[in-house]
Amino acid sequence: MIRFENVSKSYKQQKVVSDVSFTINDHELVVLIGPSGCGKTTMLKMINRLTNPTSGRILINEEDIRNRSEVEHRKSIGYVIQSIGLFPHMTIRQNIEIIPRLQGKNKDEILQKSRELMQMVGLDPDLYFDRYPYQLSGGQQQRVGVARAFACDPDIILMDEPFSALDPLTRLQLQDELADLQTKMKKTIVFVTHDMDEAVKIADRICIINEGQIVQYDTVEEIMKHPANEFVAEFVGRNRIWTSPEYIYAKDIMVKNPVCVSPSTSLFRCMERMRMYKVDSLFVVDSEKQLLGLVQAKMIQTQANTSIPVSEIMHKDIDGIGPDTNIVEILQKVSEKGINTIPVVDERHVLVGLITKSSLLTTLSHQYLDTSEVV
Amino acid sequence: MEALRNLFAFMSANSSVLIDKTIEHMQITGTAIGIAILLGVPLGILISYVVPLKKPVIGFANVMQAIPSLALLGFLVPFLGIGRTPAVFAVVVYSLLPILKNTVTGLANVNADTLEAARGIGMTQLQILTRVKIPLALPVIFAGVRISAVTSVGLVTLASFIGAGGLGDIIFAGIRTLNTNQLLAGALVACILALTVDRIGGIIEKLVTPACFKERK
Repeated sequence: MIRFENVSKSYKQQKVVSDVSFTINDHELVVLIGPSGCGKTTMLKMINRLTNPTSGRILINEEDIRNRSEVEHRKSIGYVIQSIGLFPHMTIRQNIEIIPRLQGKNKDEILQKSRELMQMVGLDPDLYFDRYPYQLSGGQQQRVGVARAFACDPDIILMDEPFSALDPLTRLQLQDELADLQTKMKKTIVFVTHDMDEAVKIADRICIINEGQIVQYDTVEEIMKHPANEFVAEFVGRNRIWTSPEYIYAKDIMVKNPVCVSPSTSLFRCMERMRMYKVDSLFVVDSEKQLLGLVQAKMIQTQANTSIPVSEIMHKDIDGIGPDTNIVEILQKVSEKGINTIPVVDERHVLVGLITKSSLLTTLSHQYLDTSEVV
Repeated sequence: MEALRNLFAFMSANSSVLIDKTIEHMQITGTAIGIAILLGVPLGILISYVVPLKKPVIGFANVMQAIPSLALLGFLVPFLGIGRTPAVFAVVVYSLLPILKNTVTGLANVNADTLEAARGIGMTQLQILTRVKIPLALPVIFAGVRISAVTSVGLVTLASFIGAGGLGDIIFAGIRTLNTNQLLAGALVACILALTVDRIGGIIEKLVTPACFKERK
């Protein structure tokens, strides 16, 4: 756990970081993001003491990092910067092994570890070990950079815009690989970027920074759905949610209080209700609002006797979806089953809402028509 | 053609003296360059770290470089007498500036991001110096050594004036006795020596250049 306590940093008169307090949980990937000059890199470099706070303190596992030797402290933290971070005069193997070797670890163990690390980042050790960084592509170099950061088995890894110098395709690929790696390795990663797409893709939590202060520190979903202020909304981009539709849930887009009838209601009364509310189907629920079935206008029209209770003709085997089903899954369901109305039910099978093709259409059209409130 | 034949005849007749003097010449140059490296490189490293020292040290080396070489040799005689010692001293003083300057430049030109990476992954200042800065600065440092070595070969011929020996002895003897063959023999060997030193310097420079700088061109 990394904790910032009232951390400030000034260069001469300029305050770059002002009174920042926040906690980075273990095994989380936290992205520090903000416009250039907002202090995000300074905050990152304070963690491995490349710069020191003017006031306040930083604790790692409740220990003030100033109490630790600078060099030992840095060795316990992986560090990845843009591709030039590799030593150009050393081979790939030397680059990865530099710190373990300086620590005087057993050579065979180091070699085995380096091989594992190379495989972890998807490079064949036999092919690349003896090459120099300039003989590798930018993406490969940065893979080596990541491997080097893991060489001492650190719990914490700091990444300072590691992918920003790469071409878009390689960048996307490395982001995916980092996300995969993180699910396997479960390190605490602090990642600085100015690219919101990158942040959304890899982060567990995003810390949005502006003018040396934290504007919002929250999960990706919360930041997209509930930006703390105009700055965040602007920075995140109002239509951002559409690049990650899996964060849009049934509960966000459903029609609440759908029109219901009890199972004993006669078909005639059902018709009346449909006319009144201008709908073509009704949900049948019991007194506890538990979903029993669905009745559609066309089903009633074929019935001669409209005085029988709705429970006799209603569709009983209807699938409800949970409130946390995301829009992608909903769309899949709609296209698979060709249904117009989907009830949203909670875990006790109580009807809480309704999604129709037209409500889906309205939601989806927001991204093109109306850029204000999305969900 | 006749002149050339005479020259070679002279050279083969006096080959043992020429060889002796060449060795003497090389000894003086070698000693001086050796001392200049041992002095200049550490001093260059020192002033790269202790910034306040940089200006006075470079300034002093600049002033020394500006003194005409013959004048410098003259200055040294009252203090160090005649012979090899003042000659070596003068060559060291002259060689210091290129070595010093190139060491400082070489170290300063190491990519700042590379250094930050080195610091960030937990290398000590000394480890950064020996494993990152010096290896990366070596080609530039050695370019300075090479310049110094070539100029020194020339300077040492002048040092014959204060009795240091070397190929200068043959050249000056030739001038005094108006013996063109003797004069040319000394001059020719001195030239060849300078070119050879430059060539060897070039080879060593290539050897110390990290692979990353070589193939990129």
